[in-house]
Amino acid sequence: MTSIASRPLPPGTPAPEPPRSRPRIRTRLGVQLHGGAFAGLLVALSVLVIFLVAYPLVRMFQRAGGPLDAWLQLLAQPWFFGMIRDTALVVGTSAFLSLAIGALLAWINERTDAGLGPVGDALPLIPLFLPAVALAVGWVALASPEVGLLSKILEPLGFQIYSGAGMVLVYVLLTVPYTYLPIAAALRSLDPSLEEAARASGAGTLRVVRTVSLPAVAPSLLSGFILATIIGAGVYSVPVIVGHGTGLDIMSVRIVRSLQNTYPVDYGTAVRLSALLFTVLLVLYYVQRTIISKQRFARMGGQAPKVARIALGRWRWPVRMLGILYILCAAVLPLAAVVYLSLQRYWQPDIFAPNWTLENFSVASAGGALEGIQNSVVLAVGAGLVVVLAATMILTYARQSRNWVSRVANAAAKFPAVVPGSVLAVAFIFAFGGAPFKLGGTLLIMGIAFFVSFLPYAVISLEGTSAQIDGSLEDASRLCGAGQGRTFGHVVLPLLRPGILATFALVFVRIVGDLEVAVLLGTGQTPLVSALLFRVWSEGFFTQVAAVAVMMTAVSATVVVVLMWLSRPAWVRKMHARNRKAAKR
Amino acid sequence: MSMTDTLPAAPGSPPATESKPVRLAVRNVVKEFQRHGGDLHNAVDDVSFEVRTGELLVLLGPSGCGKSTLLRCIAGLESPTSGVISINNQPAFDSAAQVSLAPNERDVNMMFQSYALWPHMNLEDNVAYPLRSAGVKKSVARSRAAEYLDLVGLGGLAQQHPGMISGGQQQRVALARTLISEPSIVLFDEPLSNVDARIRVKLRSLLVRLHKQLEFAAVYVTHDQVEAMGLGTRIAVMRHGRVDQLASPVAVYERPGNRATAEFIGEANFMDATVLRSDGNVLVVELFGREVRVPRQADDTALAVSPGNHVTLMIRPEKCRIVPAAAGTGGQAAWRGVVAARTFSGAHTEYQCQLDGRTVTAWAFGVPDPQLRETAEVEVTIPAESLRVVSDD
Repeated sequence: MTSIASRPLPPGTPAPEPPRSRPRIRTRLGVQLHGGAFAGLLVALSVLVIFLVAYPLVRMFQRAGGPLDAWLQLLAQPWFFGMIRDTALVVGTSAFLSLAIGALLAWINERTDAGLGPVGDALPLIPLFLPAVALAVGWVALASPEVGLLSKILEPLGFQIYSGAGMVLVYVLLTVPYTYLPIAAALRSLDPSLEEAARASGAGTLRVVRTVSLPAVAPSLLSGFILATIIGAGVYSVPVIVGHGTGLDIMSVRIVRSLQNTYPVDYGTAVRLSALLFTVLLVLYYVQRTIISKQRFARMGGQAPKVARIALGRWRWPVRMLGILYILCAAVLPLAAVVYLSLQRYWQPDIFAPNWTLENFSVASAGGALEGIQNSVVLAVGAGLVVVLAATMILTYARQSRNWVSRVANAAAKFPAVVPGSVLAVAFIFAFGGAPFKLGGTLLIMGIAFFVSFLPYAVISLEGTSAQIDGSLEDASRLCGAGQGRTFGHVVLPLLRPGILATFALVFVRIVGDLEVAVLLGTGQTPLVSALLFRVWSEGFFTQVAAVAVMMTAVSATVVVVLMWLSRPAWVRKMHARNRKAAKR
Repeated sequence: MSMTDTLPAAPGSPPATESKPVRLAVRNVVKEFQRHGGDLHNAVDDVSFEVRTGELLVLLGPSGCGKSTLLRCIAGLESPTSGVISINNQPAFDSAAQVSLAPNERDVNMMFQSYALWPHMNLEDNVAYPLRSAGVKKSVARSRAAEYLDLVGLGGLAQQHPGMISGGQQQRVALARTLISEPSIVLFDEPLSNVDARIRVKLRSLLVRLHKQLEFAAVYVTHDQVEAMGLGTRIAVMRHGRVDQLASPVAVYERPGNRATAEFIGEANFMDATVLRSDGNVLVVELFGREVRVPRQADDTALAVSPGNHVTLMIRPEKCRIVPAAAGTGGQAAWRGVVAARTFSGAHTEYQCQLDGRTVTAWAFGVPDPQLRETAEVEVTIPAESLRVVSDD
């Protein structure tokens, strides 16, 4: 900048020779090296992630491969086909229901006047921020036969938690956020004039949805369904807590049980089942990728279009009640039930009987809950920071250059999404538990497992934020004379900050609430709070289980609320306030 | 007989900026792109020009003509495949010398189509940013930012955030931010295309005023010919990555080099004619069966035509005169015909006339003449001195 402090020269004055700093002349090689350090780091990160996923899986397949006899033996087990049927039925049914509910909620929030504004946008995501174990325990407390808090209402309707329907319910509540997110994003980026054109052509609301909206977002429906299937097939906490009274035989429970409850440890079965599950999910994932890459659907660029929301008239409140019912079932009721139980001397459903106590908390604390929470928090903060840092690096690089490095890093980071936590944990036991790594039972092996399993979600979540930041904002900063460092620090990072904090909160909660890795990779020396909860559960002290779940949820909720508060800086709040005012006018 | 010799350039007043220092020089810049199929094509194809202090060069062309790519090359957001770009006589890009400065190392600033205001900074911080990047103290930068916000008429809004002001106001902020560091060359990437017509006119006059007041050198990309005419001291008409014509707005309108330029800027009639002979500075052609003497000019493209060749003549519709047949003069340049269609558009009325099976469009000022309704017999005069020879490519 030559004449920053001077006024414009009067016409006719010869321009002074600009005293610019020596021009930096760089060779092509120099350019490559300059940007190369970051790219090199990313390549290293990608290689590390691929190694951390591929090596354990290869080791697992090597073990699973084994003699054909072993596979035949597995097939000949009397329980085998029953387990496949039960698992497919529960996971498949719940993925379908979850897809239907997710699509409905997404449509309500994005396209009708029955949405609840910014609150409504956040509602379907609340279960993401609630530990899955707490959800399962909460529903057991609500709908257990005879003693459940709601059993007086639910049992005459033929519903109790220890049943196929109960299992499906909790699975659905757990997976709805995963179907909601891609569909809502697709609807948001779908040009509303497509739907308006259909309405102008005389189609009714349902017809528009059926003939225009749904087909236009079809790829996201598929994404949501497959994501729900992968999450459902991998989850262990729900079937182990809800399923034990149902007689349903779920694969993830089989896998863990063959490692935990047999003597000698039945590695063979665990490994073969994991290999089978992973292969099926990999095929599903591949199908989804193929179909999506072939689809080209209408997209909007740049400025968000004004959506004329469909006025539902007298249907508005009934439809809105659906959203409220969902959030009651997915968060409010189970949480309330857990809190209530944790304050009871013993489990009884009459909330008017004087039975209150704080003893459960002191007993749980004495039983190692505090230590467990401490371990979990340390692990969640550590792994969460690494995950968020890696995801931020990958996306920052992708914003600057769209080359093979960014594509490889992105693909590598998302790949572990196909591997369910239980399968990953089983694979980790063989890969890193013994020699030469000897990490068995350490916080480190769990941290690595968490890093790998949550990196995909972090990248996907941050991508959403990053996509909203137009590239011209960085270009403008460079043209205003700011270098890469200043541009990152003053422009990119502040704009990514809400996304980074939300992503960290998500990863934190998922790690604290995770049961698969905690049970399979943890040991007595380094118990995580979720593993402790599971142990207390197996011992049958239900009020104490509730106390641990409350403590766990309290820690998660505190972190989420604080981070969410920080993630909405003053300018965002002011802007939303103004937009709301403008919307009312 | 060769007919390439033409008149020397029409004596006009030389541009006042000619003695001013060159701020930007673009020489033989080529930018190759790989198409989806894999073959290469030149988005920018051997472009050269200079921009001096006080000049505002407009790059005008349809979308996809390479004007924005060229602008991004000057800014440093993209690297040309070959060529030289120098800013203030310092190389910013030189493919031979392997020089390529980053955008922040070039003494340029750019106003984006999307304004690209940072939503997390208030207006003052947005505008002060270029100064802060250059190491100016915060208090100094802020008071300068306040001055520039005043300059664009937004004093008093310094503490607002971009999300809280209107599109037109955002544009003014972007303009202030672009100008505050007084860069050697200011780049504009279709900055007025996102607001409605009334605000666009206001901003255009603000831009003209600031350009006069601050005398910056600028390159302005647009596809809007009205904007180009109103803002540019010179216009570079671009097509297929090349500059077809680089001249003052008047010259581009009055003497377009080729058919595409004539069509892109304003309305035009094109007519086929056959060359009879060259008569000094005049080309004698046969047009609609009559002999017409068309004056040649230095900057109509030097067509090497010989008798018998076909050429294309161009005339602007407002140069054609239309009267009822009864009032006709029957002159050498007058043809009889009928009105096929007429369209009233406020300041003028457009008549499409059939003359011996050929359609000629003529404009007359004001409201439609009741005597010139559809199917009326008319006489259309095509003055020979307003005819231009244009090349067909």
